[in-house]
Amino acid sequence: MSGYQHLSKAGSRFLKQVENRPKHLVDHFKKFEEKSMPSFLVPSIPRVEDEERFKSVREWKYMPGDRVVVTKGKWKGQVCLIHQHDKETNGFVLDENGPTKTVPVPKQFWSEGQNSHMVTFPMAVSQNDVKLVADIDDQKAPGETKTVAVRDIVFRGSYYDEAYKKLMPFRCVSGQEDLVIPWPQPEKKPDGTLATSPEVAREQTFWVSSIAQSPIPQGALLTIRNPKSKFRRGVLTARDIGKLVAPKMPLTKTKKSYIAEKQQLAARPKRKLSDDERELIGSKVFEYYSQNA
Amino acid sequence: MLSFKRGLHSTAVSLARTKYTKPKPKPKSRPHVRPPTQHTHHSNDLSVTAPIPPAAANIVTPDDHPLWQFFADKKYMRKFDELDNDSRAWSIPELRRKSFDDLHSLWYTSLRERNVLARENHLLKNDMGSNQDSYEAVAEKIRTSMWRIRHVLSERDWAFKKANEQFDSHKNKFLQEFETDFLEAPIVEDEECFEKLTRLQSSVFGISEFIDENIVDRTFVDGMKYVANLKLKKFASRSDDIRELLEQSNHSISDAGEAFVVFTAENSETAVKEASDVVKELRSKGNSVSRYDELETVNDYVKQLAAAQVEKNVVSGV
Repeated sequence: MSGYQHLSKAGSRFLKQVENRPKHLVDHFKKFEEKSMPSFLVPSIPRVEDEERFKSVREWKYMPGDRVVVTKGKWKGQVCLIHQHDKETNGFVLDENGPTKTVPVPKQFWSEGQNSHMVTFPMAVSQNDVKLVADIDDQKAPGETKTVAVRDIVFRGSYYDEAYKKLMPFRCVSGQEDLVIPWPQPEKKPDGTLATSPEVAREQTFWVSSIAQSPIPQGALLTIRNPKSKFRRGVLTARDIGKLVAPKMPLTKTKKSYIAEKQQLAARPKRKLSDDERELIGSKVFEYYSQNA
Repeated sequence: MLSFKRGLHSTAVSLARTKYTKPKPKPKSRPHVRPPTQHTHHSNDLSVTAPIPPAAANIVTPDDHPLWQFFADKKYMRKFDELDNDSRAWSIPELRRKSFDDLHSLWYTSLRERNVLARENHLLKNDMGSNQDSYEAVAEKIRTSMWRIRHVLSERDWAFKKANEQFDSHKNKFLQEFETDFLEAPIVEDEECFEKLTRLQSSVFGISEFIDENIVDRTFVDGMKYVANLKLKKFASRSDDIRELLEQSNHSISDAGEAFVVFTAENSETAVKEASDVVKELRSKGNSVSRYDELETVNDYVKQLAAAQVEKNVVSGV
């Protein structure tokens, strides 16, 4: 790598081809990757492709701060708190009650205060292997709550969440949709340095005041859009048409020979009746009718 | 004396100056010698100072150095957790509420931040050989805001153009209706009516209340005539002189010079009457502005008026 890849797209198509490994070899490569990687870098659940990574809250279903119960493996039945999302594997990193692994770490990766080669890491758990744990009202003992594991959740409607500062869906229990499980409260963070305060963002400063004066200066127009854009031209060039019209299907050998034969047959000189032949036919017909009349 | 271009091996020796050769004469004395024009420290105080060690601390960069604009908080590189990873891009509905000036400044703020991020990203990728995309991820959000700004401005321009096309067919009817309402309003509502007229002249003809802000074009002149006629018609029922003028000019004045006089008059009966007197005087002198010179002439008038106002302000300020 040259270190200039981020500045230019030259060769990017080739690189993409290299990255696109043939499907039947994906597992094969993965095996070698796992073998060659140090054990403290190997994730406990497989990494996912960039396109398959979870992006929205609806995909993640559980947020950091949620309580979940592990339903599979050695840690089955453990109730843990979700610590963070593992974006590489679409998994959840749980607290100290959750699955962990103890692996050797070479000295150059030691953190401060470490005095052993063996380090315990939390293992990410996939979404299928956890169920949400919630406290709900106990119908048998009014006024008290009971802790239950929720088989599945569905999303119904949405509301603006002050804590997350965005629209969040209501998280309902599948099969009993009136039961809403609230999202956990995230840690309070101050606004980022690039953030604009909501009052300033919401303040309206644009008002249409005149139909005679353009809302933007004429000099700025050229920097805003291309007035000669081909997408607004409304006329197709020969090049555009060439790209839009599919090429003709090439003919098969059989078809070609069939057409050639047809042409050959059509090109044969047509027989013309000579005057004598006409006379002969005429006389024959006349003879026939005169006999039958 | 013979001139030797080439000599024998003994030539140099034979030609060398010795104590027996005749010495050159002394140069003539020069009484008026110009003193040196430059004085350096060499001429008086040549002293040895301690050597200056080559160190970064000895290089002082001014705080307002323009290249600081490519640095965040004067840091070589920010750490990943110092970046603003949580903020989102401006949405299109939010940007639609903002004026051109706001969007313009937001654009340049974004551009500056992207410059900083691009520099840091380049160092990270090129110098450190990392493949982390943390800087790029933030820059991408800013880029989103930037194309949205352009989108909103473009949208605004299309809306303006389409509205103009549609308004062309309704304009005359709208102005007619306004005229009827304006003339039918009772005297008590005069002030309110003229305020409405001011708003109309700015919204339909783009004429600003402040004369020096205006650019004279066809719309301006048309608007000026429309306003002047409305003023005359408004006061015609109250003053015989004004009515007489209107009747003389077939119920609407079309000369730009005359219209300008009435247009710039105050919104009161006496002022308009004075203006109508001036118009009559102009007519008696045969002064009129040709339709072909209208724009230029009105432009000159506007400039003169603006200059006069400035002068007046200066005098009153003193």
